[in-house]
Amino acid sequence: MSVIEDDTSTVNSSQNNLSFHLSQEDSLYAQAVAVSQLNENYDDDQVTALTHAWINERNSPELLKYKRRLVESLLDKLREKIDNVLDSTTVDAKNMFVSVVYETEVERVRYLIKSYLRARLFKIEKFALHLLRLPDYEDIMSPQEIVYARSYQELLDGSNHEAFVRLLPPSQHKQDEMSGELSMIVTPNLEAPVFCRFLKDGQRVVLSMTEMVDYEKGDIVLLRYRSVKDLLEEGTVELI
Amino acid sequence: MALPRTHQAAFTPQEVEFLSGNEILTIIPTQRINEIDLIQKSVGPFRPPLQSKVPLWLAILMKKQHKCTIVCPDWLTVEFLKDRLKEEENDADFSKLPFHYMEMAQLLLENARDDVPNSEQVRTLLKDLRETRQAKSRVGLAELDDNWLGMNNLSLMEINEIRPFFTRAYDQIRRLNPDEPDRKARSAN
Repeated sequence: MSVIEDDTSTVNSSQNNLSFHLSQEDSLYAQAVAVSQLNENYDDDQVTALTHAWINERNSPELLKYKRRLVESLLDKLREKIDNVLDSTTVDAKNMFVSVVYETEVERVRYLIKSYLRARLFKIEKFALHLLRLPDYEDIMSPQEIVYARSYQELLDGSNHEAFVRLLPPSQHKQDEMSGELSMIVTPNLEAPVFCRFLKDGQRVVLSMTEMVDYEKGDIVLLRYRSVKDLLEEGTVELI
Repeated sequence: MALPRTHQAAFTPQEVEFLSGNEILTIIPTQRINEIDLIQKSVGPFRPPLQSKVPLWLAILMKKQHKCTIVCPDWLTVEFLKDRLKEEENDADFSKLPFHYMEMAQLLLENARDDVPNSEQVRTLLKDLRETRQAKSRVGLAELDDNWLGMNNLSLMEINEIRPFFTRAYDQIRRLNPDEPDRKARSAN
């Protein structure tokens, strides 16, 4: 059974098809076997945590840290769920319903993981060169994403070269020149506005001018990303 | 390419509906069903006529298969909505409504109309609420500058509606500001 992680190409090629490789082989559910799962004690369960990570990723202008533990643990649980739902010859009305419930939940979690990865790939494509040159790129991207970024950048360079760069004089071939303070590389716009909600009371935010504002828990505000970047990493703010 | 254009500026309504699916509702099951061990958490066991708490997506699924009736949430009643509408008309701020009220109301009124008392009235009240709040967000737009804009108690669907326009407007205002140090934003947008 092929694993979701090996197939970033599938993500790109099947925009409207919400089924991965996995679903093509596990189409028969007949009887659900109740498996008592390890009850991991998170304050939020993992699905909720990944949902928040997805929303943050969609709304932030830059690529956030990869939630390696969350994604891998959920993938493991998914695989376990699919393996344990056996083929069986006895299908009666009640079992049908329970297996439909399991199937729906599996689809929902899959959709969530896919959407999370897609949001990240979108930003990786936009900022491939910039991301690969960051000192801590291995923290921010998963190994598969790094491979993806590298091949994407190579393809892009190759295609540009073929199309028009080779026709320019050699001194103009570089794609990452600095001219004064401006660089040719595309970087994320940290001044972009984001909607965010404060999760704790008494948060002081320094706005770009010489202004500081205090916010309470539950406040929903439209702010520059730069002002809340640190709070987002700490977890006192969530993007919505 | 990884994200189609419709997904780039804001969430699509379908995604907002997906997000609201995780909200917890109370139901009254109509059949005995044993405990179901989902990835998120275990639900059940279901023993009629005792009530159980389940996520919205599961409640709608069960309702469609006639395996439960849904207990109408407190905020989806005529009295509550009438109160909120009055508050909305008298205050300049937004009144407190559940974060996913639009999506949940839509799903419940579509699939569980018999479980919502006075559903037609509820529908009208929701429509009025929505229009009043939209008018208020338009007022908020006039106050938009390159600083910050507070909008407490907005729901996810409403934020999503105004998101593309507000973010673009904010960005333009920021660039027009002569004090702005980073005016030549060198990003792809």
